Amino acid sequence: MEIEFTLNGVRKRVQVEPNELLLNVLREKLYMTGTKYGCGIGECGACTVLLDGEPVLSCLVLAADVDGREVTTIEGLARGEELDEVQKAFVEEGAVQCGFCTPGFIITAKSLLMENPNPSEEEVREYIKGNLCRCTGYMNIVKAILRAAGVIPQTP
Amino acid sequence: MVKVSGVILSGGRSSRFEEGDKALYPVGGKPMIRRVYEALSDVADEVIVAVDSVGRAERYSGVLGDVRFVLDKAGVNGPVRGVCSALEEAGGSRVIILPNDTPFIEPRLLDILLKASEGFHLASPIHPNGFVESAVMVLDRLMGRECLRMASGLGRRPRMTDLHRGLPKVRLINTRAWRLSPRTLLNVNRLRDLETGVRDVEGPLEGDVEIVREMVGGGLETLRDSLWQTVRGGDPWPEARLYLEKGAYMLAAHAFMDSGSRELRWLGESLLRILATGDEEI
Repeated sequence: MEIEFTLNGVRKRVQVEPNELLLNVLREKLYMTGTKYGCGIGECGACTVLLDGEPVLSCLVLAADVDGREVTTIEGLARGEELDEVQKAFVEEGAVQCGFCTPGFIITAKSLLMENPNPSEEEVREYIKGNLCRCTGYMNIVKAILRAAGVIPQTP
Repeated sequence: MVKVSGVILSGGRSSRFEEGDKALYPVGGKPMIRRVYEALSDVADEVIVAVDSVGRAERYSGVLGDVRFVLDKAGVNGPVRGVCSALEEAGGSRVIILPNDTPFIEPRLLDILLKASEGFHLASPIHPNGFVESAVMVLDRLMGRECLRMASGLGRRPRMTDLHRGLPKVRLINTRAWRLSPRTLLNVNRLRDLETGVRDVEGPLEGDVEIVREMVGGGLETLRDSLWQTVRGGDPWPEARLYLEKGAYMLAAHAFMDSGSRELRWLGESLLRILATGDEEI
């Protein structure tokens, strides 16, 4: 079957099977490999993307389900060479080690800040609890999100 | 020590599914039953698969990890057969029950249900329109077993909702209030269930629903406003009113379906069709 949807602001038409996941179509058919395949069952959050502005786990969404809708992946955040505020904050706080979980965290953080531009540390921790990081620990990730929110001042 | 047992119900014949045994049909490259198994093994201490034949156990064992198979209990009819046999075998005091055709069940839903079941005998999801996902639940093993034993003796085909209607304390968690994606409970009966998009279910229900019934005597049969009174007395109203007031409309439909009155049984069946969120077997 053919589906048509907006990916990072660009209309895309793609042939998919009814049993294909959005995650696989993004990575294998549209070569958007920034979205990571972690567990495949909705446990780790590495595959988080925005669907019509809401965060979803793309391993739990059928590709057929996004027909006519809007998907934003990590590749869609930067404007040209200019990184998004959340991406910048992750760099500045060193909130990245192996980097595998980072796209998922950044998309989740983006969604949090759209919903709640001034979150408390507790609210940040609560919101990102569906995203797992196996190497850095969460301290710098939380700091980066608070920095992006302006709660922690930007580095001059 | 096994505290939480997980059960995958796999006794269905996939009669409406066009591609053979649906449990083995791949979604995202993994058989549906494998996806359910992975979500379940994340939160349960043991996983039991309830099947209707040895052949089926052999077919599934190749795609699953460490599981035990149990055969459907003889003498019990309908979809609760697998639950009955699994409850006999389960080691945990609480049992998570899932069908094998819900490939998008996420571990977060199971965490929410487990927490919600504390202090209750059963927890299941409910949609904002009052439709209860009755085959997805966390169940108190001993109470559940007793309830199904009694339901099997009522002289009619036992239903999954007999558990929701026959236990003293039941908690229904609202999918909208918990921001659960409607996809997480997608039930695949036909191939087209995968092709057509999942829509949010509209409805008036805002929060969770708690059904707490008083036991007048020593046994479940003395539970007020329950399945037991409706089936024995033929008057569904005390039980149905409890559900209607709280928004658990699907349970009210089932209470009407057990009525002595033909008109109320018709009403119950009609209400159930209106509430159905997809292609459920009613």
